[in-house]
Amino acid sequence: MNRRRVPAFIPGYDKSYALVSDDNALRAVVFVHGFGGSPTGTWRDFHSLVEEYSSVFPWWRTSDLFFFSYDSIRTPIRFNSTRLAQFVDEVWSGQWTQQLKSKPKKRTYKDLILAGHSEGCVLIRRLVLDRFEEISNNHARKPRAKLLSALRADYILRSYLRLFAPACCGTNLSSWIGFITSYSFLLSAITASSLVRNELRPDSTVLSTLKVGTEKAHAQYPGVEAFYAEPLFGVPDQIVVSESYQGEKIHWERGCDHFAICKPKYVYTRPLDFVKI
Amino acid sequence: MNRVEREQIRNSEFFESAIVERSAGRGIWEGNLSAEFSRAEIVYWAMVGVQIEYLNRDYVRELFTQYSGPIVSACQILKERGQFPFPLPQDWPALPIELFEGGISIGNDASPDRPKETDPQPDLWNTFQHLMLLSSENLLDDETHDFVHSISWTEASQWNALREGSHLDQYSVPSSSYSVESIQLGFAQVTRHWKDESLLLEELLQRKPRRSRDSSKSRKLRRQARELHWATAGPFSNACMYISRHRYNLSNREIVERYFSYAGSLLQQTKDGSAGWLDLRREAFDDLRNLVSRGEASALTLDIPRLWAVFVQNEVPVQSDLAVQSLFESQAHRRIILADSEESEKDKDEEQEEHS
Repeated sequence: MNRRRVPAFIPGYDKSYALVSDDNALRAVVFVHGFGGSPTGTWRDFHSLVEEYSSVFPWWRTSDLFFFSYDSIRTPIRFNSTRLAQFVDEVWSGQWTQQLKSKPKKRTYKDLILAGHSEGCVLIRRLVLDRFEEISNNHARKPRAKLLSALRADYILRSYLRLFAPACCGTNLSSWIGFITSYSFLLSAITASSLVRNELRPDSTVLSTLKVGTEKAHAQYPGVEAFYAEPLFGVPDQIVVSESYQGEKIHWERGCDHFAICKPKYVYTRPLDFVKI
Repeated sequence: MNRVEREQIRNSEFFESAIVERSAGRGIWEGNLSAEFSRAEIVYWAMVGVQIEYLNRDYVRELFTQYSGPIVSACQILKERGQFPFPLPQDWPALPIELFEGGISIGNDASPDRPKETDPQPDLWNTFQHLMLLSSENLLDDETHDFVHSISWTEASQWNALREGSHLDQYSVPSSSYSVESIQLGFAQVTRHWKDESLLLEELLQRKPRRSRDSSKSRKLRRQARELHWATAGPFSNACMYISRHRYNLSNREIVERYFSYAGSLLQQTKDGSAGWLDLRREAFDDLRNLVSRGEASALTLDIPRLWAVFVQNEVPVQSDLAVQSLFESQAHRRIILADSEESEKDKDEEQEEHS
């Protein structure tokens, strides 16, 4: 059978789960859904296509997949990013496997990939900046070389960011044009005054602080991998502002809307290639 | 233990942790029928999982001993209301389910036939696994349960009060349970769940069975696997829809109208009069119409002009408080036999079949 991974729930993180194989894995890919999304609704095409296309994209064979779940509508972005940090820590340390009946082989990952969609990308970038600020504060009175070495050693700051239609420069959720399904249309109507929707406006303090902080960090430490990302946007995307941080190259995919951009299909395998390092 | 058996055990562990343990180990609002349905659904998911050989039969038997309390209790509550056992489509070979003190058992046999030389069907396994993941997202969702209980299983006057936030508790004081916000979010979760589930099952029906990587398999076996896919994918998909949609009570016209009325009223709040908004409203109507008419509701002939009127004008249809109540008593049970009423149920079924 062409099927190798079975899901395992990760207790303590709402509806989060992992797809791990019996084989050795070299890297962990953490997927973070967007506003009103869910781990399975947003990412399920990855589940089966990473198996089916394993001969075309063998990189996936040695990757474990983790799907983070959070309340994307009513809980502040900064709180969710701290939860994401705890989740990633459990993934990286392998702590989460302690509660499984059939434990997979012990892993020591070489790489971490953080893949997000829309609001999920904001959480990821906030997680990276929080980690940078924490390490910087801990090294405030130490020589710059020590700080640099601490930044380079940190697994989050060494991670690779894969951002699908990031909402990092704001959303245009008040426009009806982008809502092509009854679900997204209804969701938009229902969440018109939600807390997170306000946090995702282009002029929000949450987004502007994140942008300024990340751009400054990247200017100071250009060698730190996680400060830089090359997002992939669909054309047209009428939900988010199709813009990125200073100096970042943007990739485009014609004919994909905001929701389809992160969903690989038989006729659209680019997401499988985009996530791999 | 061979490779397939090992996978079945791992699948069963996933089923336990994702579905059974989380649902059974959790307190639920007393009287919330949606939450009770979500527990009773577990029995049916286990049945289908065993039939397609995704789950290990012995493991499931053990699970139902271990977690029998809350699941049996939910099934009994629904049974008293005439909502258990669930109806299943005629083309799915349903197994007998027995409820007894301290346990549940699912009968043997009646699995979809497959040649013993072939692997279990990976497409069915994958679809079933995705369905379980989707169900696990919806299973513990308080907003979903608040919404589904309110819209599908209360009398009209209660539902109208709940959607407006003006319902009173047993002491005639405005009640703090079932907030308007949670009911609205529940509606969004439910439509998302329907959409994801429909896409998943449509993909199963549209896809060609995947070629086995085992090139040593004979052409005949490969052809058998292909034929088997076509023969089982349709009934499997239909059975899954019946199981997952029963809790929404959409075989009742009055409830269907409530869904359209509610969707229309939510969209009305955002009306800006633009051409784009008007077009989207129509598309949302079509989308909702497609999503609603699945499972048991597929037998219902929808009165589209009336639903459209309800949707755009947000007319509250003439409703009888008794209509929903009486539905609890009126649903026909088919194909699944409960131990304690085995003979009488059998007789009823046979009579119904003869009449039809």
